[in-house]
Amino acid sequence: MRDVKTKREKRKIINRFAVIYFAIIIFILAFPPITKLFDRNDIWIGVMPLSQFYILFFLFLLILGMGILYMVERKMEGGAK
Amino acid sequence: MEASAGKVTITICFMLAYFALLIWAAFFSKTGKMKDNSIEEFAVGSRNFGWIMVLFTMMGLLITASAFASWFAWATFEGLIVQYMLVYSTVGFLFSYMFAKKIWIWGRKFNLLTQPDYIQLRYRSRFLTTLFGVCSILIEAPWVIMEFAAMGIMVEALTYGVIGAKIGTLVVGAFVISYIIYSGMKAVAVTELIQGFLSSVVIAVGMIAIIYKLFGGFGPLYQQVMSVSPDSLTLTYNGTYTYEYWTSIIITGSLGIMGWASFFSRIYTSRSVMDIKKVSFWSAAIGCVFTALLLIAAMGGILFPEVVEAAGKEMAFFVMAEKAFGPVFLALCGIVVLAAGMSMVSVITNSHGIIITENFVKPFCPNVSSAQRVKIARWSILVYGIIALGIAIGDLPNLYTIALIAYEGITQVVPVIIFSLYWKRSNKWGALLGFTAGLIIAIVVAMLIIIYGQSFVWTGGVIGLAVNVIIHVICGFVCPKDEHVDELFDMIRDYEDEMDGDVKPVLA
Repeated sequence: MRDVKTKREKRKIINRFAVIYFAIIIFILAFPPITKLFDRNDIWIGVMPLSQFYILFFLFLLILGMGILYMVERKMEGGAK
Repeated sequence: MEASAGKVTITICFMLAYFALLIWAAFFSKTGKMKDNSIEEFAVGSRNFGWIMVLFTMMGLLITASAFASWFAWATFEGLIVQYMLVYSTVGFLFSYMFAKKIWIWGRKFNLLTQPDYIQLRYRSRFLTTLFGVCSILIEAPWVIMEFAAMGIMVEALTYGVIGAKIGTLVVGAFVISYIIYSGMKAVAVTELIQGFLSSVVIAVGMIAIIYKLFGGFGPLYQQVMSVSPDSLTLTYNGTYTYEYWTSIIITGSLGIMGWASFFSRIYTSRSVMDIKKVSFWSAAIGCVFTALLLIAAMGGILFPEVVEAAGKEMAFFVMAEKAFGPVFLALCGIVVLAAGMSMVSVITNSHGIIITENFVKPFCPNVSSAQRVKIARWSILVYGIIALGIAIGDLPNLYTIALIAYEGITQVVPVIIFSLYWKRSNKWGALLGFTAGLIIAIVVAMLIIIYGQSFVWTGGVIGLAVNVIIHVICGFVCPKDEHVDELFDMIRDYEDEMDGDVKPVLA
């Protein structure tokens, strides 16, 4: 029973952390003043302008977060499919 | 695109081969056949699809024929702003990851088949359930009609006019309807698997090949676009759009994914919660890569006058494909677009047929057997399909506009879904009043923008959403909590305990 309780607590903490992480990324991607900050075609990062890099980079972080969250949850559920 | 007998033959041969493959998959393969004649098997494949099958049905939400036609053309003209698609689809699948668990658990426990079924379980209001059923069909049907019409236009274009658009719509539409009637969600899923796999390969490999062949790589593409149309590399396209508009379309788009009635059908087909999460993750990852490749290639279209000209007729994707690799690749691309259209239409049509049966007919005939409900669902799909095809081959004044307004409406479903999942005080009055007010505001504002050119900082969908949420919260505090809600939420807790090693079998 104690084990179940600990897992429930762990799940709560992970979920809270994930929600905060995803909320920050969505905020960066969709909040007008921040979008304005990154919407520059005069600054280039590698082969692409900042405006394009901004979209791809933060989406990459979002997907990476989902992948990590999935792996952690799967491990917690004992490898359940 | 210039026609020649050789090109027409290549395209028609590819289309025939593709249809032969789909006929085999839907009517003769073991996976596509129903194992028993129950409504659960017909509607959601007995909730037993592997994650790959669910993945491709989920991807069908994103990769539509319109993405290759309208959005590709838009990206050719105005560049980066269209990448809102990229953001909203990824965020939408994140929402699916976070919110689908309870929908799946309650769906499994109470044998739910449709989104209105879920509303009935949570709010116990027949009126609200029927309202959601009617609105789902009215809001989503224009997309089905539009995709039917778009597929006809594609067939006409790809056969260089040998097969007319109306004939194309009728042939493809009749084919889609026939396999849904034959085997319901099973046939839909197995055909989606083929369609999704084909689309994935052609887009992933094809778009990278196009970018290297026509532009010399990603870097040269951006540099050339910068020299010809620098505004294409900004989100506002030189002030044409505001940042609030960018935010609005991302909010409505990402929340809208959860609003589709067919989204629930997709969730219910899955074997387990972890499968749904896996599907959501992979849908986000694959969808993001494919959409990015498609829209980056589309942006480069501005460099070729013939592609820009074709974009006016929403044919830029095809012109670019033919320009890069000739008629064989064009034929492959054509099939991908057809596949995308068929994919979207089939899931929605199946879902609407089940809504008509389960939420409109069954309440009046409560003793009807499962096999009889399958029969009713088949007739519903047939009649629905004939009506949709009839409208699609007629004149379609402003259907695209209607569909866009409808999407603003879909978003209004979302607060109801989210509150119902996480807030025990959420009740039928908040759902009913909030949804109705949000829907009216979204439609009125969208119509004002379209008819009078009246512009607002935020779109109607977002304004409606805000009002919807406020009303829902007020009603939640004013009205008493429904008694059955605690029991539903306890079930989720028990399920989690069961997964953590406790012995209580919630889904037995």
